[in-house]
Amino acid sequence: MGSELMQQIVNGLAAGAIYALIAVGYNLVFGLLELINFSHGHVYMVGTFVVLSLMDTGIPFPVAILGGLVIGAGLGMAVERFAYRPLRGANRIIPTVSAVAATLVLENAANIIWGPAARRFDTPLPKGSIEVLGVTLTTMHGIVFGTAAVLAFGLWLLVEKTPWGRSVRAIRDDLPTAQLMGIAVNRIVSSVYALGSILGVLAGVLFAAYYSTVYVGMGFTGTLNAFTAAVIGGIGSIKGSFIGGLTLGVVQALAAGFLSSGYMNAITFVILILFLIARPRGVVGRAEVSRA
Amino acid sequence: MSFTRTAATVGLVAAASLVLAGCSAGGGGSDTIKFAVAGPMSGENAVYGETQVNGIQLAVDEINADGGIDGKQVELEMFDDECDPTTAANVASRIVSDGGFEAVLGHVCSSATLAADPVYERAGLSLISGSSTSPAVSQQGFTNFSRTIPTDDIQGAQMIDFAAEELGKSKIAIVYASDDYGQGLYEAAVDQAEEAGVDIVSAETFVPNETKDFSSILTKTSASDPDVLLLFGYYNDMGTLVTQISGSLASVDKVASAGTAQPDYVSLGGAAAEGTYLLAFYDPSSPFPANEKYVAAYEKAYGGEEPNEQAAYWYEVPYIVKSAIEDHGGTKETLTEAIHATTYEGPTGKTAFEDDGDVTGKTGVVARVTDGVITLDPELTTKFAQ
Repeated sequence: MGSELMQQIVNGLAAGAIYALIAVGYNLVFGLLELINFSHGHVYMVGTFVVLSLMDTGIPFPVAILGGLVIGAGLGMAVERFAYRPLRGANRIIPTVSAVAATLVLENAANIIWGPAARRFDTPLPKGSIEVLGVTLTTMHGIVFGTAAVLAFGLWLLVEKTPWGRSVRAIRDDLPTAQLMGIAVNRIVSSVYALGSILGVLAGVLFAAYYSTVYVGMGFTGTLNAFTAAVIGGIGSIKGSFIGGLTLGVVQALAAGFLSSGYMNAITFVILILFLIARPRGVVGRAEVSRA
Repeated sequence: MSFTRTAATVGLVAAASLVLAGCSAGGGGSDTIKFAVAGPMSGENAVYGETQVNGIQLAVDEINADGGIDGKQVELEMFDDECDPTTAANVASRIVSDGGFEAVLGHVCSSATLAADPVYERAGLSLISGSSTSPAVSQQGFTNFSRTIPTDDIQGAQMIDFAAEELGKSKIAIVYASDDYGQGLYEAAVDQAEEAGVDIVSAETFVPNETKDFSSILTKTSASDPDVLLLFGYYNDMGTLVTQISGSLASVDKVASAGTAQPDYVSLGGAAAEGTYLLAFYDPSSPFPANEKYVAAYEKAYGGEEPNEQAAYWYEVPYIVKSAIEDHGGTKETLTEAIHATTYEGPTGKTAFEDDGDVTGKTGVVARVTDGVITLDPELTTKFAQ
């Protein structure tokens, strides 16, 4: 029983680390523009399919990932350029509608190109496992945790220690002033979308490798889980993405393991609603900066 | 101003031509007979809809080349229910309000059939399915339903018997889809396990098409230390599930239901699918006289693709309807009654019906994933059929 509980927690942490990486994509953008980028989940889905298609043509796995990242980053920037930027000054609900339109375009394009059926995602990553105190740890667990930790650290360095990060933080605090101070706002915003998409595609590849499958529906699943993770952790906060993602992963795994997997989405929604009511800023959320 | 007027005119003309087109389709010359085909033409279960249409289209092409039904050429119109109950009910309303269809050949997923059938029943339209297997479908007390494939009651019990008698197992773990298909199998299995005196040591459910992370379920299943794993669900979910099996569960025998017996199960599951026993109600190498001719015609029509259970059962449906109309005097109003009186010898063997529309007299087949191919096991099939 004890080892079963531990095993479920390990499973949950792995799923949660993947949610966290997707959630970062939301939170980076929300931090800057107070805009929920609902197309993010679909961008990472398309990027992951691109990796699969490149591997199908015989391109080695690392190069295929690189190709997926480039396409993903390009798509993220294109969505920002055409669906969001023209509406930046508009009421917040309007870019949300154009975000939904962008997801529909991406989802239907993916359905036409790759078809609606789930596809197998086979990687040359080593497959092995060891038993520690009755808990099975697979190499995929190690790869997921390792990648998430490295990316989390790299992201912190990037945002806190580089000139680019300083510009991002300046825009986050006050966009018009940042612009007046000579920060190239459009370029920085565009690069934030690219970065979010890159992290999303990496999360997508981890997801696909961990569960050995890619399917068009993972766009929506990713959106739901990562958005919930972002709300739990604190929307707009990068640290919050990780706290929220890991928490959600573990709660879902325990719910599936000790209640029934049929309740997994129900529990996700209940958590989402409870947080929205009781603590809309999440665990570590920043107080909202009003730009009225 | 002039632009809006032009646009309005174009719109009016378009609307008028649509109405006209609708009339000519709805009116339908008396030299044709129209059927609605309803199934999942898009979405994750589109493979089922594709094979459904393949089977029906092949039969209809043959029937039309041979003079049609009662001298009338058969026309088909496809409707997409996405395997979703709500969409299925909407599709049913559209089919009924068209008024031009003789009968409905559909649906595929039991949940879709359950949602759509009340609409057809109220309109007096006959429904015949070649793949909805939930026992609940024929228990709604409707008089418009027939199906050519055995129910999950039979399959669920068979799978327990197979595990207990043929494989000699006694600690059974079950993973089942949470929809009508999975639950129907599960309930039948529970009853049969009690009768056969074997233990169901764990039973876990998942949401079909949605659950991709099976690690929690598998961890729990593994903890119950089973000696056989029964899989009640669809090929896409099960293909993903088996790749996530690790540790001691990896060496446990797997037995899967007919919904999993698709080549895509093997392409998704890869090496992890190897050795899985598949219990189904059709195999391309079945010895029935009509089967050889059918397999040859199917492979010729669809570029060498081997027909599966879905395609074979749906292929028989237009022939059964033809016989009901020609040999048993079925009209649009009395078609279901006429179908129930029909017997038919096809690629899946003999088809006859009970009063509630369920099929009788079908025997199952046992196949196994061997070297990446779903292969009939003639020895187990014969042993098991007895």
